[in-house]
Amino acid sequence: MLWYKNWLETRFRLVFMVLFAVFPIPLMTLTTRSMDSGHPPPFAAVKAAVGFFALYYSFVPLMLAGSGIKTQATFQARRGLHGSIYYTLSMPVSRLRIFATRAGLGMLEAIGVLAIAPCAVWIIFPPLRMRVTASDLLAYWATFSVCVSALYFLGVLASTFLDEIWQSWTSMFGVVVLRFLLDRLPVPAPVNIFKAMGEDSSLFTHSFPWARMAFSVGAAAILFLVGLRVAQTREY
Amino acid sequence: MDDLVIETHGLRKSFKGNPALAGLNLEVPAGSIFGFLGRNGAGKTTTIKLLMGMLKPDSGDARVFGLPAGDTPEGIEIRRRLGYVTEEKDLYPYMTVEQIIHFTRSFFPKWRDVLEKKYLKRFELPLNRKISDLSKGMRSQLMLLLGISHGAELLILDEPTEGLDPVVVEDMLRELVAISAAEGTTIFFSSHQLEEVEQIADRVCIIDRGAAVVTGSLDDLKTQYQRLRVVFGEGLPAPIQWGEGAERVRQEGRTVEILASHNIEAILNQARSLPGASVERFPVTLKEIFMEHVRSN
Repeated sequence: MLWYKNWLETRFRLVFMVLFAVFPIPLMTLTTRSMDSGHPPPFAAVKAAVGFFALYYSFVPLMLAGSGIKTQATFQARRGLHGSIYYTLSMPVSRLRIFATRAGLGMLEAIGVLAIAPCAVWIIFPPLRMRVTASDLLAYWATFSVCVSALYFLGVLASTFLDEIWQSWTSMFGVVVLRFLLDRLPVPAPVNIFKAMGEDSSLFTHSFPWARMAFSVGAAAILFLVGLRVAQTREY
Repeated sequence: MDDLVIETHGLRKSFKGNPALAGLNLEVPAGSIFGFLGRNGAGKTTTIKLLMGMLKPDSGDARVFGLPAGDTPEGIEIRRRLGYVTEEKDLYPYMTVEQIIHFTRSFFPKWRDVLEKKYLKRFELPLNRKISDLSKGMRSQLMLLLGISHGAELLILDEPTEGLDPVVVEDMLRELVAISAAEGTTIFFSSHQLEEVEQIADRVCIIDRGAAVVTGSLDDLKTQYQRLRVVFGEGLPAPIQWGEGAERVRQEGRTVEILASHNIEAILNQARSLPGASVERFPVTLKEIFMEHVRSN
């Protein structure tokens, strides 16, 4: 029943993130429709737009991340949250289970919300004279979900030692800085997971970025284990 | 010897170099109502958090049901067998009473519907009300219901009556005695409300600066401790060196009051042997014992 507690805690946040994910679609649709009658935009501009789009959507998992021990504020209740940590910890379950259930549910919710990203591509690409198939969109969703897992578990790790508001803003700021640095530093290609979600995504390459996906899964696993260690050793 | 539900030996814990527990030794027998007394900051909540596995001791040993406390499989087994009412009385504010019951019962296969219904009715808790809309008193009652209904063998209550109005306090204390009598549940509760502890506890431990200073059965302590009043008819004799056991001596005019912890008969005989002295003995309250030990520390 930990999933039930976590669901009650995150459902309003989930609705908010769905709205956040849908928000740019009408704006982008209007912009691309206005281009429809003229010349198609340069390919590089489309790739850059998808890159920006990827950064925007990478904020979704950060807002849904949590470690399950601290009770998160909801739309309905913001008081009495700190004290309820002790009720959670008095249940006959390990911190591993508390942590893993919350992290797992948040990841599933993030994957669900990220299904909006390929839908947005499906709406926006045709007016840009870009051809996109259903399998491209599915591959893009799968790639995005896997690559974003490293960022999600960065948010989970932050939630083990930062208060809620700080966790969201710090992780979002961290992701923007990370993106900036990865674009400018001479890092090995698989490390730049943003490219796998943006300009080098399967939408353009029509193949899976296996190395970047593997790197992301590895980084996510390490971040999960570090977060778990913090949750298990922290005193409340 | 009675079975022990809680045992700690030389338990030490400090926060940023400040000692909260300084070698606490504690023994709580099964079936008792155990009052854990101390001033604010004496180490009561730290002890409870160590027993619940929320904190780790710097040294020493804490056992509940004979199992080591902590975030281990043994610690999980401990938490399966106990109910806990936190100091803050905070539950998940976004859940309703019904939802928190539903949530909690999922962790306890031996959940007792009969007790759940009985205490829902007794405490008049509305099932569909949000926890954030309950008063502190109702939240305390709800936590107690959750602890009792899963068939806890031990209830750990951290300042259970803190912030409650006198009527709710009275009801809660009566309920605790009834639960202990009916279910054989051991009740371990921390408090600095001495009258409440005296009202329901059969054993007490007074903790000060992280160490137990007095521990034992309340009846024994009350027999063991006595207040002696010595009134001198004529002038006072020269300063008297009272025998062992005289914990506190206070003189006002021709009257000397002695709080004795043991060796009472010897002190009485010493007083009676003084010229012109008349001696009376009085029982002491828990408050007097508490004040004596906490002040002298």
